[in-house]
Amino acid sequence: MTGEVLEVPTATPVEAKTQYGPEQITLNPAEVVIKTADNLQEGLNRGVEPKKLMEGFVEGVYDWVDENIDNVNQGGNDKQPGGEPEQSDKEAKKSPQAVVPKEQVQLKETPEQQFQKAVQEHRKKYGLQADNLEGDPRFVQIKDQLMAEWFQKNPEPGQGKEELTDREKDQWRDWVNRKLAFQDTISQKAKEIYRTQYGEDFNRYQKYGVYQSLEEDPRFQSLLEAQRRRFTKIAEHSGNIQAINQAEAEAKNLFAQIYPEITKIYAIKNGELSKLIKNNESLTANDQITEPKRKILGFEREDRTGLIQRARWKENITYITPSGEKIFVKYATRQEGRRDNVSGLKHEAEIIRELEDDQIVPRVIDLKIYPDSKRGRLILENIEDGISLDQEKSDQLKNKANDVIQSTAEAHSIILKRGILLTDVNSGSYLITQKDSGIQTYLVDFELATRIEPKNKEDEERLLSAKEWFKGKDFSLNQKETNSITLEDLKKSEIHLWAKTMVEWLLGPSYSWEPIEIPPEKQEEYQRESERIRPHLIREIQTRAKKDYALIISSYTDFKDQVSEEKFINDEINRELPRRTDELLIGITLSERLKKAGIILDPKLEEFLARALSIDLEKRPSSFDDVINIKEN
Amino acid sequence: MSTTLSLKLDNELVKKIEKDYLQIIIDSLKNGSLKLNEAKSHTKEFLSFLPFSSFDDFKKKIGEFVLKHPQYQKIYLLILKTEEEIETQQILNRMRAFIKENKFDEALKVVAHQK
Repeated sequence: MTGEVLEVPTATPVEAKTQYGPEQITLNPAEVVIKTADNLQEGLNRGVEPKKLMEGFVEGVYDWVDENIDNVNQGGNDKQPGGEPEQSDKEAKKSPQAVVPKEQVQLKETPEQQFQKAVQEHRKKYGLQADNLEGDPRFVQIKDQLMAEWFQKNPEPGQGKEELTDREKDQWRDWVNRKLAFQDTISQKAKEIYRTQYGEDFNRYQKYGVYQSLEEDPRFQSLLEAQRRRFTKIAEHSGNIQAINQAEAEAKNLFAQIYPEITKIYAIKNGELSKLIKNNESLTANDQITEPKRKILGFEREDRTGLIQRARWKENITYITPSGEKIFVKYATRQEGRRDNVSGLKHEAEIIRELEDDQIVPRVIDLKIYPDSKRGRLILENIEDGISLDQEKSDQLKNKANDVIQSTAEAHSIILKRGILLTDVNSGSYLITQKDSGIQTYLVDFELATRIEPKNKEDEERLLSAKEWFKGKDFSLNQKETNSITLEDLKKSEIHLWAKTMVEWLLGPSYSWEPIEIPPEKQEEYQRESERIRPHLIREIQTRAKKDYALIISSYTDFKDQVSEEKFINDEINRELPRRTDELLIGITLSERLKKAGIILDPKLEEFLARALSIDLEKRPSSFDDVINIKEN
Repeated sequence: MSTTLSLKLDNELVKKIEKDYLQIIIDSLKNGSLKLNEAKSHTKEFLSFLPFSSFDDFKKKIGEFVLKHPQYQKIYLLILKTEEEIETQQILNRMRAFIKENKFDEALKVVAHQK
């Protein structure tokens, strides 16, 4: 510790009044500086241009001054939640998001000014007190209150002293660190309190809140994150890094569909979004049913479309009829140059009708294909309280993993015995319900379902497509020529994909990135199999890496001067080979991975999964009979 | 052959430096090592450099700024590091071009002329 003198500012304290009581909380100027720094940090985190931030900072836009607190009280006490919104100059000044750069104040209306005008109109339309939750004076006040309570419980060491001793300095630094740690959690706490106190307004902000740009919008950030996760997963599985680049475009696409009005506002400053809006508008122009109305002809509407469905131009909506009956509706919109999902919906209805009596699929209520065949609608029975394995809440089922896996196998077994392959087997294919009688699985999404014995030409085409589909998803099948793939192989591959889905659900999609210790008794088998698949994997990675390299240099011409194709491919092989090997040989290491994750499965079920995951087609089961027998025995 | 490598000014690098500068300001305000009026005065000075006319202009101005205010040294080091990386890359590119044409002596001269 040096003998440095830590300066404690002695300027006049700022007084903060709160709605919670008559007491006045005194903010030390050191706090004011930190709050100013927080404002600046918030702007930086939100992606505000650094130059604009600097200009704003110099002009005092980000300063935390007593005006802020006066404004909070004005907003919190004088205005009713959801009342006529008015943004005062002070409020606009306070929010880092609301900064209008100086150079944009011109006589002619700039896009920024048009944007601000649109935001004001939007706020008026939806009765928002501020642009967004974070800017709502009541939210700010709750945050202040939380902070004030913290200050009361944790007084600043050495307050009022002009000079601190070494010990006091240490205490003060510790105090600052604790305060910063508390500040990190304050927004989330404030949100919870705000939600409890002003639930309706909270929901309104969630739906209609607007930020300074799409990129600053936390809803977009959530979508982007989800899409990145999804495309990373796709990239890992397909080995195509190009897939990751699609995440942002897809997230924008989804945002434009979910929040069309807000997207229109953001589009004022963003040409790319304008194009998206035009595209979406042309698709929904003739479709009254998709308007964001809560009630249509007495039907209550709830949008349950998942991200993947939306990306595929599908929608899942639950309606509650005036008599209280719930129905589930799937919409599909055909897109030029994409798979015809409208005829897929028709096919799905046919297959589900065939399986209805088995009570493993939701009942078909009605199918309608609109006259231009560009849009279709399938009404299905609503599965009350069904949890899809691709939902986070399916984690709560993991303590019943044996029952869940058994139940999915039973349902899947029925369709296989009826000569139907689900084909697109993934975590979204299984809808789990918990009844008094136990776990029950419903199979959903039969758009790509395939009849093993074709009834007509369409079925034959579907079967051929299914072979290609399975080849893309199953390494072992990919080693075979398409015309040498037997029906038995397809069943094995379907069960293999089921097993992969179950394991990914149990262990998480990125399990193969985590190293696992192979027990001595399995090392020889692991080594042998690794050697066997190695040349195929290297070829696979080489092919993909070549494509990726070409893609990269098409965008970044300098890249080829930095990294040669050969080096790039070799690096990719070194990086990918161990992971892909682990992924493909999961059948060998399954029990170790389950053990590491603390998951205990019935040994027979575990053995079945391991066999189904084998890279050796000969070893794989072609029916679920062994799993069914576990329960019966 | 010319040995002077003229570097293009990369807007992304400028933005990165500006962000890093702001982060230093934020951290310094929070840990009390910088007063608010000092931070503003430094920022005003920083803003007066903008826009940078070239990479050299950028490097020179930030270098002088950091000399006056050593607490921002990190941003200058980042510029130097980036400069070195770009220059190394350019040298390697030239060498590669010569080697591709089997002009090994010329390739070696590229390095020799740099020092």
